[in-house]
This record gives sequence, C-alpha cells and structure tokens, in this order.
Amino acid sequence: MTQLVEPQACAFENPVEPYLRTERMPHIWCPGCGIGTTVNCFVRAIEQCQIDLDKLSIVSGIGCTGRVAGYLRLDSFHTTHGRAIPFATGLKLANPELKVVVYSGDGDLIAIGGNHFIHAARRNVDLTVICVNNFNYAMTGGQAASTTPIDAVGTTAPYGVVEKPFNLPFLAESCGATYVARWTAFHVRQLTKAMIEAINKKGFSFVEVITPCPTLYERRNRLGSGLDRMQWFKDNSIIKNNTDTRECDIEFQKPIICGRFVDVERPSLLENIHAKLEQIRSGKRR
Amino acid sequence: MARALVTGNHAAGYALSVAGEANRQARGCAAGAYPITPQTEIIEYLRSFAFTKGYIVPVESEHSAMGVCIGASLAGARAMTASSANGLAYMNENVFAAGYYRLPIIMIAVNRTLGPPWNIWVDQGDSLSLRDAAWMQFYTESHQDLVDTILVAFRVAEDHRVLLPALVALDGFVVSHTQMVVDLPEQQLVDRYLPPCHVPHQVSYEHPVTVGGLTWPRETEHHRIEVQRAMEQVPQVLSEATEEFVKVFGRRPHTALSCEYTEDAEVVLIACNTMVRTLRNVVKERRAKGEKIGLIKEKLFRPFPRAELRAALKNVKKVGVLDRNHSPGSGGIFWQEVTTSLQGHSDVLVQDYLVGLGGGDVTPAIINDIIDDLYRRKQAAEPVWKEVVA
Repeated sequence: MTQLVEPQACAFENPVEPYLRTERMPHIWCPGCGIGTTVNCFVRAIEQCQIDLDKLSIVSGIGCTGRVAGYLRLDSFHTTHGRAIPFATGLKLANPELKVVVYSGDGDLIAIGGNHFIHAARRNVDLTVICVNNFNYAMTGGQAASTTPIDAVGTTAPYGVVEKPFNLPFLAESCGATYVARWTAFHVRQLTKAMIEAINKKGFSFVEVITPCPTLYERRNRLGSGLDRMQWFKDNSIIKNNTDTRECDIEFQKPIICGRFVDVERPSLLENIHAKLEQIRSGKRR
Repeated sequence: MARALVTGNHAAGYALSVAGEANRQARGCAAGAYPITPQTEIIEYLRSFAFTKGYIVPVESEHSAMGVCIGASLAGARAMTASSANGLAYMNENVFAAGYYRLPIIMIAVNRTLGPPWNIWVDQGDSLSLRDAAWMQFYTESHQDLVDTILVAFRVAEDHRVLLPALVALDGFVVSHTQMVVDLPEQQLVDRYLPPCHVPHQVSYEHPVTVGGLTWPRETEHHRIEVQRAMEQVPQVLSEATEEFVKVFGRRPHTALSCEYTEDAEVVLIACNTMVRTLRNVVKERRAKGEKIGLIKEKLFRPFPRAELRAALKNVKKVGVLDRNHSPGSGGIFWQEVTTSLQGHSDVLVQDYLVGLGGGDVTPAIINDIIDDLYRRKQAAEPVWKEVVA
C-alpha cells in the first residue's frame, strides 16, 4: 500500500516553492490544467534571468490565469477584467526600472481586453505579455471565446462556433510586437526559453501558450483528459521557427504551429518619449 | 402552464427567450451575451434557444453586449441581455445610452458585490449604481416573482407612454443557483401577453432619422424632462400590465410595493429581494406574539413609488430599512429613497441598517435584533452596520 509522505518529511524543497505564495495553496486550478505548468516554466525563467525580484512585477486580469498574480510571491496586481495591460503600462511608465510582466488568459487579454493588447503593441510599451490560451472562458464555465476554433463546442456555442478565432501571433506581429512566440504546455523547455527571451527583449514581447482545459474545453469537445491533451500536443505540434505568422491560424484538432516567429528591433515607447523630449529641449523640433 | 423545478438563472433565461420569440411576427429578437458569474447561465440559455427570428451575439465584453442591444432595439427587435457586478459597471456607458435613447431593452441583473476586493456573492450595490441611468428597476424575491416581473417589464417598457429600458434584479446564488418550482408560461400565452414590439423611433427607409445628435442645454433639459414624464407614467402602465397579466396567466404578480400587515402596524421594515422572504417569516412569528409589526417589499425602485410608500406608512411610528448595499459617505440607498419620500410629509422615525454586505447571510436572528433595536430607539441615528454573518 502506498504511504502518503507528510510535506515536512520531504528532504528537499521544491525549487519553485520560494517563488510561490504557498500559504495560498491549494490553488484553484483543476487537475490536468496547463496553467500551473506555465507558472513552473515562468519561475524557472525568472530564476535563469537572474532578475532582481524587487524590480519584477506581475499583472493579471480576471479568469483562471488571472490567479497567477495571487500565487506568485512577487509584487503583483490582480486587476479588473481585460485591463491588465493598461495597469501594467502605468506601472512601467511611472517606474521604468521595473520589469513588468502581464500574465493572463485569452478571454481576458484578447477578447474583453483586446483593444489594450493591440494598442500596447502599437506603442511598443516595454512589457512582456504571456497569454495562456485554453480556447475558452474557463472560470465562468467554458463559454466560447474569441480564440475558440470554428466548430468547437462551448456552453455559449452548443452547436459549434461559427466565428473565426484570432490568430494571436499574427495579431501581435501586425500591431508591432518585437518578439512573438507560441508553445504548448507540453513544450516546457522551449516555453521557459521563450519566456527568458521575451523578458530580456526590449519593447512589447508576446508569448502565447496553448494549454489543456480538461474540465471544460476538452470535456465538452470530447478530447480526453489533460494527459491525453498533452499527448495530442506532443503528436500534433509542428515546430517551425520564423514561420510567417499569417500561417499560424489554429483550426479545430488540426496541427498547431509552434516556435519563435518574430524577433525584431524597434524603439520602445520610453525610448521614443525620451527622444522626443530631447528633441524639444534641444530646440530641434520640427 | 408548465410547472418545472428550475434554477433562477434558468427561469430568467426561459422568460427572456419566450419574450424574444413572441416578437417573431415583427422584427424578432437579439441580444449581446457575455459571461460573468453568477449570471452566465442566463446567456448560455439564450444562446441555446432555437429562435425563429433572432440571434444572440457572443460579444467580447458587456459594453458591446449593451451596444448590440441598442442597435437591435433601434432596428425594431426585442432586445435583452444579462450581467452582474463589474460587468454592469463596465457596461455603464451604454446602459445610460439605452435609457436616454428611450429603447425598451430588458436586462437581468444577477446581484453580486462590486469588486475589488473580488467577491462573487450577493449585494445590491451593482444594479443600484445604475439608478440614475433612466432605466426602470425591479427587485425580485423568488423564481416566480422573477419570471412574472420579466414578462411585465417587457410590456411596460414597450408601452409608448413609457418607452424606457428595464432592469430586473435577483439575488446571485440565493436565487440564481437554487431551484424552485416555477410556472413557466407557455409560448402561446406569452404571445398573447406581449404584442409585437414597435419602437416609434426605430430606423426605417421611409423616415430616415439620425440618432444621437448634439443638443444645446435647453434641448437636453427638455429631453430629461421627457424622460422624467415617462417615468411618472410607469405606475399607471405597470398597474394595467399587471391586470392584463392576471387575465392572460391567471396569476397575480407582485406590484410596485407589497405591503404586508401594515394596516395596523406601528413598526414597519422595508427590504428588497430575498431578504423579504426571511423578513416575512420573522414578521409572521412576531405578529403571532401580538406585536404590531409589518413589512414592505420594495419591488419597483425606479421610478421610486413615493406616493404609494407615503400612503402605506401614514400611521406608522417607526420604519427600519434593510440595505444590502452601501453608498460610501452616505449610507444605504433604499434608506435615502425612503427618507426623501417622507420628507415634509411625516415625522416617522426612519432608521437604516446595513446588512449582509458582500453576501453575508441576513438571518432571522439579525432581523430580530434589528426589530428590538428599532423598538428601543427614541430617534434615528446614522446608518447602523450590522455585523456580517459569514
């Protein structure tokens, strides 16, 4: 018979634990959910980046992924629905020394907060945006979102979605993001690396992570358990760096293109502000 | 009649759907739908209903949900939506627009505490924050009350003497997620009760109009006065709609104010939503002991039925108002309305009690405590916070 090991009897602390608010555990995420996996990757990424944790701030919106802000032992903001990016913009501009990471879900960042997403990318605000895409509004019970593939089922699309979902890498690139990558919760090493690159990137960097939502999206669409979904990600991901983001559309149960798609240089908003100020001060204003 | 054991959200979804379907001979129905706890099942119900003529748009935010309703209503469709708490707050701008455009949209507000701090339990502060939005507001105590009120609300809103949107509120979880046996009226009865919707200023090829122009102060003032006049028509239209409801459905829905045991009462408590149900039980028990106590269920909040309230409180000595909401810097919002109604007409003592904020239970013990406090009181004081029972 299996003996349960008391937590205090463990010889080693989980290396991720110092970064988590363990007093808030157990977390609300379901068994098989991919959000915890992405948090694990993120913690390893910030550890490898050797960032001064006093100068790192996490901003989340509302939803299952919105809980990330509350579970990380860092300065964090759990903002109103969809508004993580404007909150983060204020944080970054008022204190440019801060490394600001927006960590939220597809429903929050791309649907109700979509306007802020495109404008922050356009301005090239110095932010890293990590979008956990589980293809539905999970916290409210699995409603169709602006990322749900055509023909997939949700509680607000009982006969299947008819609206074209967003292609997030293409959206981010076309609005001006300087770094764009997509991985699934299966690709933990690549995802960690992408997070490191995004955090170190100047300007608006964006990482999309495709995750399982076994309680809602997978169950309603009869796609199996969280583990089945990870196997599916493994078998159906096509790693293709530098793919033209126009080809990154996601179709229901069709292979998902992963990789680093965009890595370009562009002056950030702060640089542009300072350049303009300098120009005005020196009297060279046109 | 089809009696069924359903949740409050199911009941609301059904009532909205059959009301929308009842307009199929005219311009059909439409809604914008966006999820938020504890309302989500209502929009899920709408999205699952097979309308003959109508479409529910799965929009990207509450602001857009009301935007879709405004557009649809201006095109002559019967428009509806549902939301809660921060969803209502985010929708705010278009809620005002719908009111001031005089569009008979019906919105279900499943009451939930406004965040932050985040809280999903009931508190009427969310819908009351829209009290100045030129919308009628109804507060319901049970599943049946909810269904009946939704149907009556469509009829009153679409009456050309009124032409104002209506918000129908229910308690989050306490009603939205619990089941009760409800009479869910059949489609043909609803077809009889709700005539085809016709908005006189709806867009048409024959009479092109531009909606939403700029006005000078004088014109704006006129517009506001017209809205006020429309609000003043509501009691009469509501009373007619109630009588028609009795004829069609054979059941009498609650009206603007329900006065219970108030004829000989010296002390009266005023409440809304499910608090009324607990209050009713406590009042019954205390009357059985010979106490002269009564209650008023405040269902219609906008327009506030001042004259009816004054008449009901004519011989009363003390009034206690139960407010499950809080206006910082003032007190309970129902209390503000009650005191304003009585100003200059009565020297009755009115005391405000802030109860069950953030979803705390309003128990019989709390209400008994409030009644005892009211008996002892010689004069009214600032609103009293009753400690929340978790």
